[in-house]
Amino acid sequence: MDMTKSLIRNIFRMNLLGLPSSGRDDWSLNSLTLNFTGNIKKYEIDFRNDFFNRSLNPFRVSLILGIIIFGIFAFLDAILFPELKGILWFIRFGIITPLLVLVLVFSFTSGFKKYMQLALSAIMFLTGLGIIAMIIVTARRADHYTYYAGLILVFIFGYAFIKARFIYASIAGWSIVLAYEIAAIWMSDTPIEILLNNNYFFISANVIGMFIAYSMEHSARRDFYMRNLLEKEKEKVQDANITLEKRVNQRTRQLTAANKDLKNEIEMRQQQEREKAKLEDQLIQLQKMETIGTLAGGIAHDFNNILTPILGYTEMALDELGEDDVLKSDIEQISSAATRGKNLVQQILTFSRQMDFDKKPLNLENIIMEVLKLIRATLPSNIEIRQDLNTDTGTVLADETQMHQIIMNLCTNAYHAMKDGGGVLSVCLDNEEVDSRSLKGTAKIQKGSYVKLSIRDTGHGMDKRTQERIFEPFFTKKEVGSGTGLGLSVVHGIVNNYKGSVVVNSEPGKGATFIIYLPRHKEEFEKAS
Amino acid sequence: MKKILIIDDEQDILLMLRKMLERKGFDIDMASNGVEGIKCMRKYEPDLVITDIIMPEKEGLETIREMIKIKADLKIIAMSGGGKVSAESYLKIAGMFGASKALTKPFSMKEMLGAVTELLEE
Repeated sequence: MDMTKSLIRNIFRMNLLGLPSSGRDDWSLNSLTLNFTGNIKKYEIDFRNDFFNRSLNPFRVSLILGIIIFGIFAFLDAILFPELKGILWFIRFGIITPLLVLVLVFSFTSGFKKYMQLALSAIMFLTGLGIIAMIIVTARRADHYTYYAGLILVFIFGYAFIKARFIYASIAGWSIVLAYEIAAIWMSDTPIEILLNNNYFFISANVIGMFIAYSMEHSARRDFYMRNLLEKEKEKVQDANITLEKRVNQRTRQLTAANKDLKNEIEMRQQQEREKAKLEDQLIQLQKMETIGTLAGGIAHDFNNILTPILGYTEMALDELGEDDVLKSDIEQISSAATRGKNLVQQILTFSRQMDFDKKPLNLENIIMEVLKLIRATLPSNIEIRQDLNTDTGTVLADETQMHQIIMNLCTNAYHAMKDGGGVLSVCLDNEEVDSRSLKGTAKIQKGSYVKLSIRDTGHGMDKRTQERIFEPFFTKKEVGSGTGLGLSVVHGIVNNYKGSVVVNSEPGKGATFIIYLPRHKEEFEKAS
Repeated sequence: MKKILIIDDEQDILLMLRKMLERKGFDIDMASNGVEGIKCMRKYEPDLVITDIIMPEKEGLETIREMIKIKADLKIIAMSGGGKVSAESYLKIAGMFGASKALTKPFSMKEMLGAVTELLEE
């Protein structure tokens, strides 16, 4: 049993008709009805609709052609059977042609879609019957059998032109053959050789017709199926395109965002690098100052030991000398030089933070007023003093003399910077809350409340290189003899000693601003708040 | 005649002070470090000691402490030119150890004589 089944399957698989397959695995047709089966069964209704739409116009054209050809045969009736043309023409124009025209008219109505295949097989069969009738008529009266060829034309039309489906055309075709057998055997005495001859032609024509119809429907179904597949693939491609486009857009957005992030990060890095470089500079500066401080301490000790006998002997010598002694002024020169040396050592020591001072809460405002009073007396008239002092800044814990010294120092420097062209010396006093963000540029200063003192001149200013070095001891831009070069390093030393910071802002030709941050005295601060 | 012992590792300062004080009629002995200074003090029994702080062998602060242990009412003038710590700091500590007066180097003749006179006249 199994062998038989597989043999049958193989025969179908061998595709005996040589029809092209779709090349798809789910392609499967009922061998007899040609209906879609299996996975593609769902396409059957769609196919029928599609097939109807595609075959409606070709059907009408072939039907009109058929009516015309069928009509032309009326001449043959007249020529061959003048005495029978009445009855032949009745069959031709009285029955069959109106029937065909009726179907043609029917094809323009909406109901035709449902009954098209039925109508097609019907007109094929009825036309066949008409021809059979004419064959019988001519055979009885004139003993003539040539009209059987007409049936072959019907087969050709029925199978190949009017777009009947294979199964309908086959049923109609074989019904015609059956009807002919009945008519030929029982309704006329057709000689056996004519019957044989005609059957040969009819059966052959039928088989050929079936083959043609089968091929045509098979092709139509394959085309439909392929179109369908193509449509699906197209949709898939379109879907894929849309998805791809979406993804590209998404990626583009992501990339843009990533790019932006990257740029921000680079900027942040650069900022950090710059800040790091600045801090390193400040660290180096600090280390330098510390080294110099240690060195200065040692030098100061030795210098003091050297200066002690010099000053002692000088004083003793002066003590011995009379008022009018020639040596007196010389020795006084020695004494004065030694005293200057003593002062210089004091300055070095101040700078190197080795002096302990009397720290107490101070109001900088009072000290500033005092310094400005002193300065005002010495300033030329082309230098104006402006002051903007917040009277409620609180106090700083510091030594009064040192505060005096740094303010005096900075004011003197400002005066020197404006000595030639004149200008404005501004002194501002205020509070500032320093958090980690506003620390940029102010080295080694901790978060907290600060008293901020700014001393600004409109003098010649200075370049970056100079700004980097101004706090180094013995660095001076003044002419030889007009300063020790210790002033700003002393300011730096004092302010650092109080855990404050000195910042300078300047550009050549645009003046300079020195800002001093000193920690606000806590007790006072708490009281104030 | 009042006796003064001067201790300093700087020869120049020793000689200068000796001259300065001898001229004012004091009897002077000298030592160049703390160890030597304490020996001298025991032998010489000075009325006043003038000592430097930073010296080799035995530095000034320890010297002052030991001297005060030996003679509690000994008058001492400490002097310093500073060093790693400021002269003022050294001298403050010296005061705590028992020095009666403290002078920063360089001092004036007036300062030194003033201090000496003040202490010896008490």
